[in-house]
Amino acid sequence: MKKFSQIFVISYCFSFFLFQTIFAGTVVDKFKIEGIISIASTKALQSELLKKLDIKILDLNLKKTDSGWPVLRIEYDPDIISKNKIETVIGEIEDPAGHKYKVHKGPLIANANLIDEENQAMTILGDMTMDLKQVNNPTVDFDSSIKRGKDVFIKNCAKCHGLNGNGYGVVAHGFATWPRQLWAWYKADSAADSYLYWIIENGKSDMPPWGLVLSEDVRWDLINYIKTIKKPEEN
Amino acid sequence: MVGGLTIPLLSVIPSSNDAHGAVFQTPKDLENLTELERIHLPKISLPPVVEDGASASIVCSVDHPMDEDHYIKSIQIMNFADPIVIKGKFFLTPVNGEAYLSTQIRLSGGEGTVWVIAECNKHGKWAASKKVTVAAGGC
Amino acid sequence: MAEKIKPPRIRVSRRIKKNKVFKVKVKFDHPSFTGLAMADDTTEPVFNRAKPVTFIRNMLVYYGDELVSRLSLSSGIADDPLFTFKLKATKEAPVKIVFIDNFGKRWEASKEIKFKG
Repeated sequence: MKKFSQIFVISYCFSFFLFQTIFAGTVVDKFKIEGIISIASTKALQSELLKKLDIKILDLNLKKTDSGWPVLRIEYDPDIISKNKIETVIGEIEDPAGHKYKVHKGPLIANANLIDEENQAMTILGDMTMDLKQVNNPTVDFDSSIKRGKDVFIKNCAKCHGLNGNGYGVVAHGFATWPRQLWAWYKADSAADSYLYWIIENGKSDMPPWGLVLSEDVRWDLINYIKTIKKPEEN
Repeated sequence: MVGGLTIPLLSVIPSSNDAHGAVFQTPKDLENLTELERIHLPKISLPPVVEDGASASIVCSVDHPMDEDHYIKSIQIMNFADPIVIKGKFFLTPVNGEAYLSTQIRLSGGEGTVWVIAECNKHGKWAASKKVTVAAGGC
Repeated sequence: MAEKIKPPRIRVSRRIKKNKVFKVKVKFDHPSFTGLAMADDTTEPVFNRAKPVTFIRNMLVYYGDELVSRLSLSSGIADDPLFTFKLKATKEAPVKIVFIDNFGKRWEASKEIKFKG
């Protein structure tokens, strides 16, 4: 038994050493990519990168990212290639239409704050005040409602609020206001229903009035699903 | 070049009134509008087929008085099928004299429905829509 | 790019009569762009972010000293847009139109309103 333990420990140490030798120093970095404008763009970028650099491309996530930008995950050895070198090479590659790619830098939302003149104008000519009414959630089967709500969310809401509800959806940059982070309503009780119902139905600021195209039942499915969205760190 | 832009009034009656919920008022019978419906319902002028979705001309108007105590507060243009749903919201005052806005919007390719909401300071929000087919998406 | 953008240009009806409604057209050559591309249509949402976004955020209309209209905009508006709206000729005063884009840059133009006829 003692001998068996010794063999096991030696084997384990050897395997660990071998693993460390083969994968020593490799790191995985994420690069936010500007310039992916077609399906051909994705292929061109990846094939050109592999031709020019000794790296491993793990994946290219176009939309389901925390920032809204496409993310390329690359595994490389920093002793051989620097991160700057990878960024430079990405910037030198052209897509099939002749446009160069670029690694996106800067803040997630680059839009400037409203200037004083805009704030004053919005006070005079702005959105209506919220006329909240008491509503009662009619849902009986919450599990199936949440499941339906998730599908509705992915189809209609995720593009602005992000798939994980962080507000950095793919199109979130195109508005004056930043879409709300939805985990504010995680496990919210029925007191939140009036607000959620009103805002989804009527919209406000850059939020569209979904009451025009989504039925009342569907809106309740959405509300039930929103209350299940956790802040990612808590997942 | 300012001016010279002509947009045919292809539609004055909205093609759809299937809005959900009572918060957005739509006419009960499009063929026989009541006086209240007639003065509140937004008119949408948008070609049924748009060649270039990057710049689709749209004219929105409401036949409503713009009196000091009774006027159209806003006109909002949307397409829920597009990535950017809200195109713009025009906030008006009685000084505008008429509730009217002409602009050019981006529409994604295929079939869609453009919605316009007019909000009256006394009679709430009124919705109208117009179906549109876009040959080349412009988002 | 933004520093090359020229101020907007305003055109109004030729004959403006007191207390009558007149048209105001304003052309602003701004490279509004959603920054989106349709790279993959197999899953929702169908668009991915391809370029930084640029768009006009607000158009403010002043008649004399009074703010009379505000157009809240998004990147869903075409580039180089022409906006047309109406005003009631209540006074002889300048119409000033201000544009602000998503970078907080501001442009303005004005046109003096004089009654004729």
